[in-house]
Amino acid sequence: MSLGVHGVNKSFGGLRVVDDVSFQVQAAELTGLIGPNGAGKSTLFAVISGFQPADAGCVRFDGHEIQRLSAAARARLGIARTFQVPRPFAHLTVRENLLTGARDQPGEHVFNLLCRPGVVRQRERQIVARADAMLEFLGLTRVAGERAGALSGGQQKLLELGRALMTEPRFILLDEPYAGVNPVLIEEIERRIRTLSEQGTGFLIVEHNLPALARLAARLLVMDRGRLIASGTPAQVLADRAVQEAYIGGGP
Amino acid sequence: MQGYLTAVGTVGGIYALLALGLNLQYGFTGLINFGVVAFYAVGAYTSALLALRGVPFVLDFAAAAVLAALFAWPLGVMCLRLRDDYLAIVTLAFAEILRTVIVSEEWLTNGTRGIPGIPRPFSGLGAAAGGFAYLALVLAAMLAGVSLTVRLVGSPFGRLIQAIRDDEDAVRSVGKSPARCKLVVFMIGAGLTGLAGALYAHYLTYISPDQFVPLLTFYVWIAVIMGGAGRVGGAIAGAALLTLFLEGSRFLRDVLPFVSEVQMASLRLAAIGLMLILFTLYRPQGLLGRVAR
Repeated sequence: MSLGVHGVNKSFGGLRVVDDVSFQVQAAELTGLIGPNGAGKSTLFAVISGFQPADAGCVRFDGHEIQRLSAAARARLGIARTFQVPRPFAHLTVRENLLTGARDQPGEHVFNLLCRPGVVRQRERQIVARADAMLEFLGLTRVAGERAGALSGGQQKLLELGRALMTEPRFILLDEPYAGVNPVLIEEIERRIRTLSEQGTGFLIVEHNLPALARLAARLLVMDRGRLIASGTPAQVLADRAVQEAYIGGGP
Repeated sequence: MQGYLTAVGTVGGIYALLALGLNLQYGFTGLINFGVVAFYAVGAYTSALLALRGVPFVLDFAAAAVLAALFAWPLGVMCLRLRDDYLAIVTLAFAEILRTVIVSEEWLTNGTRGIPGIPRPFSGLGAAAGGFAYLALVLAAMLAGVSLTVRLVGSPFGRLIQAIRDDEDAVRSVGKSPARCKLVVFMIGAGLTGLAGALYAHYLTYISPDQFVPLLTFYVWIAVIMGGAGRVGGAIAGAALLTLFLEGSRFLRDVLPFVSEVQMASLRLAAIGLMLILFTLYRPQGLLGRVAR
């Protein structure tokens, strides 16, 4: 299974933020996407997840073109994403945040609430059990009943990862999962991601913490000023002159 | 005095039903409906016109709620995929358009002369007992509204609409469509508002277009904000406070005899505005809202 973009362009006003980018990511190969600020990484994420339409090009998932699908439809297909700045449901509890991520709850339709309350209750029990397991997995059990808005930034990052996982994704786009997270938690998140990756979930991760990302990723893609400038193993990419220049800010 | 208290209770109960509808829309889902009075008017006219043609009360009330919800449908379909502010503008405009239509379509609504002689349930019981029975009916409708809200909000659907209120994009990112849920909530809220309109029409036994002005919409907003948006009890508390205030200021005339009737009406509005400002400053979460973190 793979996720890919082909000739994707995206401009805001006169500024071409993503410039003819093509690549393909295999689920078996945990991939990092790096580049200096403003390189177009988050915009590319938005194009892949359906939050921004591409001006040109296509997005393929598992062999199908998906660029016409809504963001919600792509999530239902199995592409989950997190946001650079965490966006929890601030007034819901941590557990409710996870429950909202779960798919196939008939109780989200009023008709079923009225006519099939038994089915709704049964599904809710399954979902609650999964959410509790997820809380355990993320180490958030202690704060399960707290409002998500009251969590620390690092905990919100974890919660967002958990909410994305509740959708039973096949592919996860993580936007700076380590930003604002303390080193102990980073190791924690890293372990979780590795476990999931070994279980077959695909990952594309934008991250500025290069040492941490290099430990995790089998492959790195590098963007600069909207273009894809390099790709390869972390060792190859970090030794690449063009990449170093992009990061130091030199070069034409 | 007993008759007066029954009247205040009835009006307060109708306000509470209106506040419950708006609280479901705004408090729990974040929908900005500035056209509350429109759905109220649809309910009032529907029920009144049907009753005058001899349709039984139960069907009148049901039709009022259903028709108000149906009026909400096209507005919701048009606006709920767009940003929040579109619904606000469209509902505000809808309320004004509807009032103009009611004034002009005399064959149906009797225009500015209004509709007199709307039958009131329980009127056969005499003034005191009939009024009391009607109060009981209004309170029963209010309790039904409370129980509906509690059940909806506590369900997976309720969880989803509150998630929508907090962050629509995050809801999309987990594969759910905010527009569908918002439309359903908008229609349910409009249905409650329509029912309130029917109760009002049969209580007053006379309705005319000048009773359905935007001011009413803002009274309901004030009730929801003061009571605590997003809290089930908040709608009730806010409606009680609003009724207390609107009625209480009547007695102020006895204390301030030098103020004329017209001045008093303006003073009342000014005082409500002041109260709203004070709430916004010192208790933005409302009477029953959670204390801010």
